[in-house]
This record gives sequence, structure tokens and C-alpha cells, in this order.
Amino acid sequence: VSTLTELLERGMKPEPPAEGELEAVESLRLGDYEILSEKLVLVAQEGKEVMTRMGISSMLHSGDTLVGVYTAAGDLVAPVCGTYLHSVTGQIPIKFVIAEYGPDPTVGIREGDIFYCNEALYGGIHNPDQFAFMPVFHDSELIAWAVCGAHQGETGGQEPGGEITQAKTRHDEGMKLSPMKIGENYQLRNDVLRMMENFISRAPRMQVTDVKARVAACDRVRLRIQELANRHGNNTLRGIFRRMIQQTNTGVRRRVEGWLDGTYRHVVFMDTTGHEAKLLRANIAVTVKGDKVTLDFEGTSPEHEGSYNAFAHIIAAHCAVNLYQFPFHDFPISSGMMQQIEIKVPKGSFFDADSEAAVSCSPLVGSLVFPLLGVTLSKIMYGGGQRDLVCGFCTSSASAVMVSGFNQHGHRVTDFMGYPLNAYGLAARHDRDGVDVFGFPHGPWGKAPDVEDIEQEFPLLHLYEHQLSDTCGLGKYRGGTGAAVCYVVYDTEYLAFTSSQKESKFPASNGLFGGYAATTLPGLRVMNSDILDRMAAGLPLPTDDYELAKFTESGELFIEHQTRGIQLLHRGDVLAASTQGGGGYGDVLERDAAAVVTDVRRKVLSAELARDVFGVVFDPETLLVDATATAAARDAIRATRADLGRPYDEFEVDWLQKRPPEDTLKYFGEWPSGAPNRRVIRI
Amino acid sequence: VKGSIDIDIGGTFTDCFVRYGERAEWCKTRTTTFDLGKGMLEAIEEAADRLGITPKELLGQSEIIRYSTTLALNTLLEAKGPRLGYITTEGFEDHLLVGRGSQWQDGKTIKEMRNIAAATKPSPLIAREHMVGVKERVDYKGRVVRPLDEEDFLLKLDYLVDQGVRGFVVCLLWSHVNPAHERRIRELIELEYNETYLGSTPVFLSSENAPRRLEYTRATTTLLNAYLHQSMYDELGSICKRLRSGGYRSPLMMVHNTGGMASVFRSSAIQTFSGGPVAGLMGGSELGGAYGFDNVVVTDMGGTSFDIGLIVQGSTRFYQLAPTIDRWLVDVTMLDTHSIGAGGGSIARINHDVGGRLEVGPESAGAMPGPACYDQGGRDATVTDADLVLGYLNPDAFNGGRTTLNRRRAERALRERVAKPLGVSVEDAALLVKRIVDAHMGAVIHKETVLKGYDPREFVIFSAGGAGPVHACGYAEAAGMSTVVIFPFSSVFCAYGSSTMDVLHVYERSQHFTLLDGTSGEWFTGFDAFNALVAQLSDQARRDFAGEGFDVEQVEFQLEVDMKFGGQLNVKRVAAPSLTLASQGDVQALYKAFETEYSEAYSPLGLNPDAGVEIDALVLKARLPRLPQAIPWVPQPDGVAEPTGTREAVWQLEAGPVRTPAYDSAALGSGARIAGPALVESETTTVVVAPGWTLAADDNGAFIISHGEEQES
Repeated sequence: VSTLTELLERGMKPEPPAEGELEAVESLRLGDYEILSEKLVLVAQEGKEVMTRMGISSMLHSGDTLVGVYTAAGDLVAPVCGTYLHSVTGQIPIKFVIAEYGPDPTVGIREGDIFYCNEALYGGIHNPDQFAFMPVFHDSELIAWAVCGAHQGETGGQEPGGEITQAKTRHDEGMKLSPMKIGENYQLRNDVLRMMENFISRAPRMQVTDVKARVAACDRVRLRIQELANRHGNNTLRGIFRRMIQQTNTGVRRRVEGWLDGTYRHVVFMDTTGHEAKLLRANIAVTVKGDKVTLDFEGTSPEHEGSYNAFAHIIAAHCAVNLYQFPFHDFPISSGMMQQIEIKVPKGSFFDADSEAAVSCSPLVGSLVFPLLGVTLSKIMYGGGQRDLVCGFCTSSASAVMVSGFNQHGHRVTDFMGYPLNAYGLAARHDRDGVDVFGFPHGPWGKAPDVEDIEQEFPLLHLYEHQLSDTCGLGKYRGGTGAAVCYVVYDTEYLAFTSSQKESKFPASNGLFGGYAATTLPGLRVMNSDILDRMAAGLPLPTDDYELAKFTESGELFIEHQTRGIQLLHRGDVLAASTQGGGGYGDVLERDAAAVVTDVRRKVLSAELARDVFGVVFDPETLLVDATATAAARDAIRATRADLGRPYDEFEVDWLQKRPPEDTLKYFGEWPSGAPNRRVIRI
Repeated sequence: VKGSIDIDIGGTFTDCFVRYGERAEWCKTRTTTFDLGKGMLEAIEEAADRLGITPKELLGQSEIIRYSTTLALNTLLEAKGPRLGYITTEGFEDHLLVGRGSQWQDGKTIKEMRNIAAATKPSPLIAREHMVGVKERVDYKGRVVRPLDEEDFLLKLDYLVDQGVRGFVVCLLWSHVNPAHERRIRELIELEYNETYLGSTPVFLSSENAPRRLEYTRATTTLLNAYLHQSMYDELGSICKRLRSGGYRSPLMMVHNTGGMASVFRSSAIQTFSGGPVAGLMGGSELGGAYGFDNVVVTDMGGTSFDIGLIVQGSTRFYQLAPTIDRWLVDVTMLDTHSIGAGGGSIARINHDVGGRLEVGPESAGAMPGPACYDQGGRDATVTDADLVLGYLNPDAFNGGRTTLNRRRAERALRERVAKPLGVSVEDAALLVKRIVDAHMGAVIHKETVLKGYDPREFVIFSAGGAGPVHACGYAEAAGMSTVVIFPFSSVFCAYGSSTMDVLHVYERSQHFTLLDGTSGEWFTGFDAFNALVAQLSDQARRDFAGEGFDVEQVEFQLEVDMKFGGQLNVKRVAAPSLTLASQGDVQALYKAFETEYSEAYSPLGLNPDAGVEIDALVLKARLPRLPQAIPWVPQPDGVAEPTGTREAVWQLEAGPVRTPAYDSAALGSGARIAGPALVESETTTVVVAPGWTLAADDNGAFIISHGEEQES
């Protein structure tokens, strides 16, 4: 355990150079680094393509993946990431195997071994993320590791889908494998595969196919590294690996040196614990000093009994998503980045809960980092000469509806609905709007499936699926819109749904420099509906969430939080799941009136918002802007704002009197600091 | 005397290859973008001149003219298409805008994709206000769940026409399974705005343009066809008219992405999109057969891009997984030619943010200002500048002597941009630039071969394009390959390629069949439905061939099947052992073919028949085999190699230039052998024979350059 604890704390940083490693760097010939570093990335890319072409799980296709080359000591040097999450924590299970099982004669590390792991306590994010890894030997020497991981949409927990929203402890969350050997001599063990099938009996086909896909990809990477070693020698590879770590580190150091020293703060609130819709606080202070950055999450609410908890290294992994997608997007990805970054997560907060806590929904917790760093990094980059990279990023919701049951072909299926997952809006930038229906914040390069993809494999009929108006954060530049999708259970008797989306009651994706936050979105559901009959009869149907929320002609309508535990829906029942837009940038009154009206014409904004918030006066029929009236309306809004203005001290006194209802603060900790004030007991 | 003419129109040059009786000639002329037919006619005139006949004689005697181009892209890039209306199922109006979410990354490089703050979706080709939803719904089996509301549709039609829409793209959900609603919509449009009205406009149905599952790419494919239709129709109509008045009497044939071809008026715009590279690949296949090379990588290195295509065991049957045109994912079968940003114009620069790493490309200096040595104001150091400084290029004989290269400018650019920051000599900087760009190209060749399950060492490289022969030894070495072949007509390789092609039509249809049920273990028995679909596709083929004036009896059919293990999203396209299924034996033979191709491509570790095996689509290829034609060799008398002089050229780092023999390619007789380092100059390029490589001229006028042993790079 002490090895593990130590690894969780420092395993994300690169190991110090081993004997001879720096000499190996020195002995590299001109051009070796440029050529071989590119080659290693291509090797990882080849591995990823093998996995993607073979795999089933929707998250594997949505890009929650990593295929990478690691040093013999377990440091990452060349990955292809569907998400940057695993780029920092993926090292921990390898380093654990090296330290713990290398010297252990009952396990050992030998050529042809295949290891596997999906346990968050050993460096994973949550147990849906399953990783295969293989040692790479050449001339009897361990020279590298090949790693391939991807999210799996089922874990055999108390609810289907892997993200168990109603879990109270780790014991509710299904299969959790600490690092273990699942194959030897380049052969997978059938007894282990059967054990997995047995755990994952809601989706055995997906489990076995995807384990094979991961291992085949790992093996491909292994083979290529051996070919390189054969051609260039072990020592050259060792030198290249170290140089790659050094180069990323150099780049990060230089860029951070260009930032203005100081402490940059932000706070966001989460509106659910997974089992109850309550308020939690997440706080950050980013300190830039010289070439070092410290991210301190002190002030974050305490852990709780629900499923929305995380561990410190999971939070660190989410930081990597923002860091590699924005300030360091142009650097090679290696463990060298983390050498400059210190991350402090308060023990006992819901960002670093007890080991018995439920954490299968940890990405829903970790994703609070997206707006926290979205705002703080934007401020840093705005002042630090990287204005082009200023962007508040995405909502913290970042999840989707999960469906489970028998499909129309008689197969058991359980999986995320990939459309909402890949349909969040991107926040506005300093000089332009965000991106409408941009993607999946954790891994924005994935693809939302087509309606015809889903309806072929799941017994669902989509009622509508499109951009959802009024979901973006408003501002001088608006955020990208979110999307609405609505499913009707069809061609089966019943289906089970769960959902781990959030921000239904309180937004966490804030605007920048006066821009508005994106809107909150409820979940909608209609039970005992006759909507299929209405379709057949050619009667009018709701075409978006706003119409569905008023749709009372048929069945019983529920307007609820988007974090929903398992619900059984029968044929004809309706479930809508919408996604948030991105935050806005700058003052709404500075937005070009013509752009506002274009958004109305394109159904991005309602006429009401254009008029009331943006202060644009236009003819509702022709959509022609009345420039004079608009200027007057905007002046009036500014005057109202001025009337509301007060000295800060006065405002603060009043503000500190305010307090959310007591019940909402049940898990918050002390108000307003979030300091722990109760004990959590888990059995 | 019978003849044939092949034309490949690129951005800069129009390439022409003609056969006339036993003879063959080829030439290049400047592309006339304002009127492509003009440059095309000029090329035909020059070819006729080389043959010593009149253009009228050549055109009059030509049985076929085949044409490939990549210029459709320009219409797209310049956004010059007509104003279109989009009609889809109510509730799904945005799917062209949503574009599977991450549409912003389609058609972008990995480097661009990583920069999230710069993400932008492409400007839509149809404005949101011209997209309407109609009340109707069909399910995955083709059952009508909601009838088409015709009254509602007519209101929306009037709205679109009022908006000035000049064409309709119709893509309803599941229309490829049941196209009734799409067809009814076309009828309604035609009834309302019949041909005699000014409002009459073309209607493009997705169920006809791309009858395949997945509404986003069915819509983009239909949309691009509609968008490019009018301009291509006008342009090709004008070309046909010119050819006809010149005396040509047969249909003008267009090369398709599939490796097939059809007459201009039986081709859709999008089918012809990558005609040039595809023709090159087909030519490579013909030459591979003639030389007994089963496994070939056809490479073409020009000014901005490096294109490759693979021939494996004599076959070109690889298709792009996610074909993308400009920024639009589409659903058309495209042979898998691959392009990266590496060419003579690729820019070398130091990335200071990552500790002074030298990077080459993908940015290019383009044709303007071009490399520094072009003397057109370019200041960046490019690959061509490096080649010149290394002594590989003759500054006075570049591009047939039409361009003089300025070595001083090349040196200055390399010194300032590369050598000084790295602290190395200008020569070493140039050699590093060359090695890096060669390594990129080699790595791509390596990746594309190994990803398909093959060992690059078992392949030879065919090298074409102006810069190809300069770098071929370098990228071959980087890919671990040891044989390069350069043909006398390499400079018009794609035009030559199309001359080798059969008339081939490809028909595709999505349909789901369960070949092996994973739960019950039962094999497929629905032979009638399967065979009926094959019959439907082959009937269509016969109609098309008859319409083009060909003998339908000569047509040969081959079936390919898109297959996957149960639950998988990606399919593997498999050549079916038989055209129809009649027995359990046929079914199992089809599975066996799938298992073999899957194992080769990925890994036998991934075989998973327990999950069941599914068929997603059938692809029927209908081919009219052409008569065998001779390869246009340039027979050479026996001879030995005599250098025409020497040049200072750099081969090793920190070693400086050495005197290197230079040869005239036209003077190399059959059997001549030249050991590298050496430079062999021709009108269109320089063949760089690197140290350790040996060039052998054969009696066909081709050069085979080989490396003695396994390379150390």
C-alpha cells in the first residue's frame, strides 16, 4: 500500500533518468530525435486505429481512449489520445506493476505478458476505463511498455452502464481489477475472459470483443517498438524517450515563464451528489510563479455518501485535459509537462474521497475542472500573450443517457447514447463565437452517431435531434449551442435508462469577462404516452424540448434533474436528454445587433432573448433591425445597470447575508467556505 | 488506325497521354483554369504534333477519351455553388450543421485538430433558414411510422421557393430502405413547379445519390452532388462540344474514385473527385503486373503534397475509411489514396517552443511565392531550397530549363531559418531538412502498409511527380524498402494510368443480413433476399452499359460485401467468393473470406464469431474488360553509362560536398548501371541515386534503383 500511495502522489511525474540515460541522449545523432519521435507517435496512432476498427463500445468510438508508448520505467512519451485524461494517470498502474510484481516470483514481468487494470484506486479514472498493457523486451532487456485503454459502457454494477449514479460505496460499482496479468506468451487466457464475461453479463459480447481490441492494439505497438529497437538499438530508443520528456518540459517551462506571476481564482458549484440534488462547491486558486504553476483546490466541499466523488489523481487527470487542449496544445504529450505543475487537492473533499467511496461517476466530478481552469487559464493567457487561446471551454456536464435491455434483434445491449455525449457547445473566444454542438468535452474528437446508427442497434425511435435554441451562454460573443435529443421506446416491450448528466438546477459553465453562463437544462420524460399512435394518425408532435415540456395531451410528463437513477420505460414512453451550450464572452450589449438577429433567424436564439437581454429592437416579421431604437434600448439597460450599482463594501455586506436554503447545503460543508462539517460513514 | 486519349487536369499542368495504333506519346501543357477545354485541346494538339498527325485525325480515330481531374474542389473552395434548399424529416433539420458533433475537425490535420481554441465548423453550403423539416417518418425496417403530410410540405416548398432556392436536396431518415416519401416529394415539386415554369429546379434525392445507411453522409454526398452539379455540367458540356467539333464521336469517359469509369453524363460530381490519384494507382497496378511486382506503393511527390496508393498482391482493393472532401465527410467508395503535406514547397522551420526542434511542413510555400530559390519573394526555407543547396538540382535545368533557380537565396533562407538556430552548417541544415521530409514520407508509407497488415519490405516503390525521383531513395530507405522504379512516362503517370483502366461501374446498397447468429449459432438462410438484391444491382449495371453503347454480354460482375462481427461499428469490405448464395457451403465460404481478410488487416487475436457475423451492405462491381494494350516502353539499345559532368553534392552530415557524377537520362542505354552517389537528369526531374543505391537502366527505358542490403538510416 505504501508503494501505491507514493505512486499516486508522484507517479504522474517523470522518473529521474536511469544510469546511462543522459549519456544516451548525448549520443543521439543529428536528426534522430526529429525522426524517431514522429515515428513513435505514428506507432501509437497505428495501435489506436487497430483498436477503433475492432472495438464495439460507443465510448471507444467517441474517443475516450489512449494508446501510448511508455518508457521502461513507465513514463509516457508518445501517446495518441482520444482524451488527455489518461496521459498523466496511465503511468501509475505500470509503475505499480514494475515496483510490486517485477520482483515477485509469483507474477514477474516477462516477454509476451499481457497486463490489465480498471481500478481507480490504482491510478485509473473510474472502472469503466479498462487498460491493457504489455512490457516490450528487446535483446532480453525491458525497453518500453505498450498501453491501450478505452472506456467500456458496462461494468456489472448495481445499475447498468458503468457510471452508477445511485452507488453509495465502491461495492456497488461492479468489476474492479487491480493490475493483473491476463495473458502470457502473447496469448490471452480464456479463463480470465470468461471471468470478465461473467462479471459483465449485461454486455458480454462487448466486453470480450473490446478486451481483444485493446490487446491487439497493444501487441501492434509492441511489435513496432521492437522493430525500431532492432534497427536503431536499445540505447538510441532510451535516449529518444528521455529527450521527448525533456522537450515537453522545456516547452512548458518557457511558456509558463511568459505568464504573469500571480494567483488566479475561480469557484463553481455542482448541483447533485448523484443521489440527491444538492449543492457542492469546487474551488481553485492557480498560482503562477516563475516557471511553475500550482493548482490548489482548497475550499472544495467535503466528500459525501453519493456517487459523485473522485480521487486526487482523477482531478489531476482532468487538469491535463484543459492544459493540453489550450495552453500546451502544440507540445508533444509526455510526462515532462507534469514536472512543472503542482496539484493540491484537499484530502476528505469530494475531489479526494476515502478509498471506500463510490467513484464510478468521477468524470462527472472531475469535469468541474473544465470551467474552473477554463476561466482561470483564460485569464492567465489573456494577460500572458496567448489571447488566441482564450476560451472558457465546456460545461461540466459531459455525460449522456445510458440505455440497457434487449434490442430488436434479441441481443442484450447496454451503452451510452453517443449523440448527446458528443453534442456539448464550446464557449466563446476573445474574437468570435463558440462552436455549436462542438463535441464531448473529455475527448472532443469523437463522433456523435447518426440516428440510423442508433435505431439499427437499439429499439428506439428518435422524435427529434437538433441544436437547441437558447442553450448558449450570451455575450459579445456567444457560446456554441447545445443539442436536444428525444427517444421513444420502440420495437421492444421495455428498456432501462440511467443518466449522469448534471447542471439541471445550477450552471457550472461560466462566461468570461462579463459573458453569461450557459443555461441549465432539465431532463424530460413522458410515461404512458400514446405518441406512437399520434404519429401514425399524422397528429402534431413536439419538435423540441420547449414543446415537449408543454406536451400534456398524452401520458404523464416529468420534468426532472438530468442525473437520474435507473428508470424502466415501456413501448411508447418518451425520454429527452439535452446538452448545455458553452459560456459567453464579454458584454451582451456590445454584440453586433445584426449577429443577434441572424441567430434568431437561424433558431439559435429566441426573439425574447434577443430583445430582453441583448436589447435589440427588430421587426418580428422581416427581422430588420431598428438601429436607433436598439441604441436607445441598450442605453436604457445600461442606465438600469448603473442604478443597481453600489460601492463594493456595501454590496459585500448584503451578499454575505444571502444563503441558499439549508436543505440545499446538506452536503456543502460550512457555508460559504465548504469546510468539512460532518462525518461520512460507509459500510 | 485506332487511338485513345487520356487527360488528367491538375491545378498547374494538364497531362496528356495518347495511343495511336502501336505508338504512344505524352506531353504536358499549362492548365487553363478559365476554360479547361482550351488547355485540353492544346494538349491534344501537341500530342498529335508529336505523332506527326493532325488533331482532327487523332480525335477522329480515337475510340475513347478518358478524363480525370481534381478541379471540382475549386468550385467547393470558392463557394460558387447555387442556392439550395434542404428538405428532411421534421425534428432533424440541423444534421448537416451538427455534422456528428466534431465536424470542425473533418478535413483538418492532427496539429490543427489539437488546437481546440481555433475550432470552427465549415461554412454551411446551405443556410439554416433554407433547411426545412417535413412531417413524415419511416423506421429502420422501412415501415411508415408517420405518413407524409403533403399539405404541410407544400407550404414549406412555397417558403423555400420564395427564398430564391435554385435546387432541392432531399434526405429523409431511412429513405435508403424505403424511398417512397422522397419520391413523392419530388413528384410534388415537379407538379407545383413543372418544367415550363421559371421556378423549375433540379431535385436530388439521397435515396438515389447515396442509398446507404447513415443520414449525415447520405445528406453530404447528395448535397455535394447538387452543389457541384451545374458548374460541372456546364464545364463538361463545353468540353464535349469542343471534342465533338474536333471530330470525336464516342462518349467522354470520366475516371471515378472507385477505380472505375463511366461516361460524363452517367457520372455524379462526387464520384469523380479523386480521379487523378486513382488513375495513377491503376496505372501502377498495370506496370506492377508487367514487372512481376505484386506489392507496390505508387508515390507522387509534387509541390505541396505527397500522394501514395497501395497495390497488394496485384490488387488495388483498398478503400478510404472516412472519405472527406474539403471539410465534408461523404459516403462514396474511394480507392484508398493517401495524401500528406510534404512536397518541394514544404517549409522548414525551428520550433523554439520545444527546445529548437526542426520541423518540415505541412505548411507549404505553394506556387506563389514558392521556395526562396524561385526568386519570387519567398523567404522561407523549403525542401526544394534544400535540394538545390545539396547540389541535387541543376539550377539551370529545372523544369526543362524553363525555371532558373537562385542558389544564393536558397542558402540565405536555410542559413537564417535553420542553420543558425541549430548551430550547424548550411549544407548540414539542408541535409537535415531532406532527411526529415524523407522520414515523414517514409513513415506514412510504413504506416499505410503495416496498417493493412503488410510488411513494407515486401513492396517496391513506383516514383512519380516532379520531386519524387529526387527523394525516392530517401523515403524508401525511411520506410525500410529497397527498390524504387521510375518509368519514362512518370511525369504524366496519372494520364497514363487512366489509359489502363477498364470501364467499371460500382453499385452499392445498404442492407442488413445476419450471416451467423451469435446467440443461436445458426447460419444465414435467406438466400432469396440476398440474391434478389444482387440481381437488382446487376440489372441496373446492364442498363447503364447499354445506355453507354457497350455490349452488355461482355460485362463481368464481382461482388464485395461489407461485414463485421456482431455489435461492431466498423465494417471490413470482403471480396465474395461467389456472386450469389445458394447453399450453406456458399455462406461459410463467405465467412471464411471475411475471417482471412480481417485477421490479415488487424489480428487473429480479434476474431470473435461468438458475437455473430453481420452483413451491412453489398457492393457490385460491373466491369467491361478492355483489350490488352502494350505498355509504352521506350526501347533502349544496350549501352553503358557515361557521365556528362560532375557537380558538388552533399551526402553525409559534417562531411561537406563531394564531386558527384551527373548523367543525362536520355543517354543511358539498356543495361547501364550507376552506383550512387550520382545524379541523373531528365527534362522533368532529377533522379538522385543515394550512396549505397545502384541505378540500372532496363531495355524499356525505366530505371530500377535498388539498395544492396538492409539499410541503416
